[in-house]
Amino acid sequence: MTSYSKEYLQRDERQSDQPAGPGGSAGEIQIIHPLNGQQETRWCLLALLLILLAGGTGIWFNQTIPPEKSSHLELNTQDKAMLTSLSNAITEIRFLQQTDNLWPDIKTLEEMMIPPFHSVTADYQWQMPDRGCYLGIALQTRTTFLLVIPESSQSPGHIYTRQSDPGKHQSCHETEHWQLQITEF
Amino acid sequence: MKAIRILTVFSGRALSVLLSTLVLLSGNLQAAPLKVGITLHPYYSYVANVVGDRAEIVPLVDAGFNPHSYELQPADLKRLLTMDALVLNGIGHDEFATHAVEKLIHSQPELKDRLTLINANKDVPLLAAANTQNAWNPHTFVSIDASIRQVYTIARELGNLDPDNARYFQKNAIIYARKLRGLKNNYMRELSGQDLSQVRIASTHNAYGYFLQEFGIGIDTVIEPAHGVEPSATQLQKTIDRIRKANVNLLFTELDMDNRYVSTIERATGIRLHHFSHMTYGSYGKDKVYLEMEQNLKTLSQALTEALSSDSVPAGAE
Repeated sequence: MTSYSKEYLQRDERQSDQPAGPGGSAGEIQIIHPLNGQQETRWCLLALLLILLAGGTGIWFNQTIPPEKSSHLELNTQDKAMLTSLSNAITEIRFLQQTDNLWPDIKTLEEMMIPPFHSVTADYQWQMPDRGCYLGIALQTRTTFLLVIPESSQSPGHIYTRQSDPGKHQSCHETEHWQLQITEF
Repeated sequence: MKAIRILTVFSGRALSVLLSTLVLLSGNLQAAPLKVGITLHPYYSYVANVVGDRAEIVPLVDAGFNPHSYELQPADLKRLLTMDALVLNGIGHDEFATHAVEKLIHSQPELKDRLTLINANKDVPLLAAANTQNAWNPHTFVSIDASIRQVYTIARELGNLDPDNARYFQKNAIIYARKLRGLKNNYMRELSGQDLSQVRIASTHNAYGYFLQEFGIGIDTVIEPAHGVEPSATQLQKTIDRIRKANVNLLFTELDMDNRYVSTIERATGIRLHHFSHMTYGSYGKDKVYLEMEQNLKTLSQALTEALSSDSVPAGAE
């Protein structure tokens, strides 16, 4: 008697008031779930959802941020070559400046055959608006280059471009109208 | 009394000898040349020209390996542990070294203080890799201007490690840069005035982007689907179609690499084939970059002259 479930006892009490059937047995109702795998399917789906959720969360939090596209990649082949050339020129100008304690002017850079100031194809007209500042105005293309090298060797030089005539924006100290392409180090 | 005086004189002399020995020893310790490791052949040439006889160069791997498929061996790791600095390409061509070094530093954190990693490409305006997203073209060493940029970066970093020789390294770097540039100028003069805008170029391996860029030439088609990966039959067919459609005049391929599919392309398109040095094969040498760069310049000059000549055969011959 003690092993019967509460449900069974309640049903038993209800049924005891009624007359016994022809067989004499008081109607015992036992719920038996069919063995059709429905329960397992539910558990499997739940586990699958949990795994997907955990995986999705993991991926969401561990995504590699794609590197920011460098602005110099937008330049054409000739301008990219000019950028590398100017990047080398920074080191050579610094070396000359440290040797002579004097910023080399355009004529000196040409004489020293330092590109792009000295070039087989004269595509640029170079100016030196200030100490450590060199402005290259394109004669055929649209891109103008500005090279600014600080006096201190601890501060990096910068190379800027502009896709239109610099006009009045030729100051070496106001570079907000220019696109920074690369820094020296 | 006399014995005490003798003892005092003797101790004084012993002390001065000891001090002199210590001074000499510390002097020798300070003067110990840097041991600079390199991963690829061009970096041997760069470092050799920068340091002269004031540092020892230690190639991480013995000559004769293929940098596209190499994996570090225990002997290489042993060499790595003797270095003060290691000059790296660092943008994909010496991953066999960068991965190993990362793991080694992770397991031996003290190595980080002992071994300075010099990323030679740190200051180079890089090109994007062909056919691959979010990756750089690592072949900066097959170029004169990008080589010079790397030489300057190496000289600066080595100067930071050895301040006594910093100016010497920098001066050597500038002399070497001028030598390389002089070489380029000779060929630039030959090609100046030529209209290269009609020249269409295909390349098996994406190794010549920086080199051709110096002459204002872009590459229209790169055949390898990824760095060091041969194209499948379908990809090869697509490439052949692309070459025909773009009317490519020249195909550049590796001098020391066996690309089985190149002859197929050559037959199918009638395109002219030229070989460039990748500079990462054979033995290490101080003049390797200069000599092989000169060969590449000759090849380029000859190829462009042929392409511009009236008898140039356009792609799509077959």
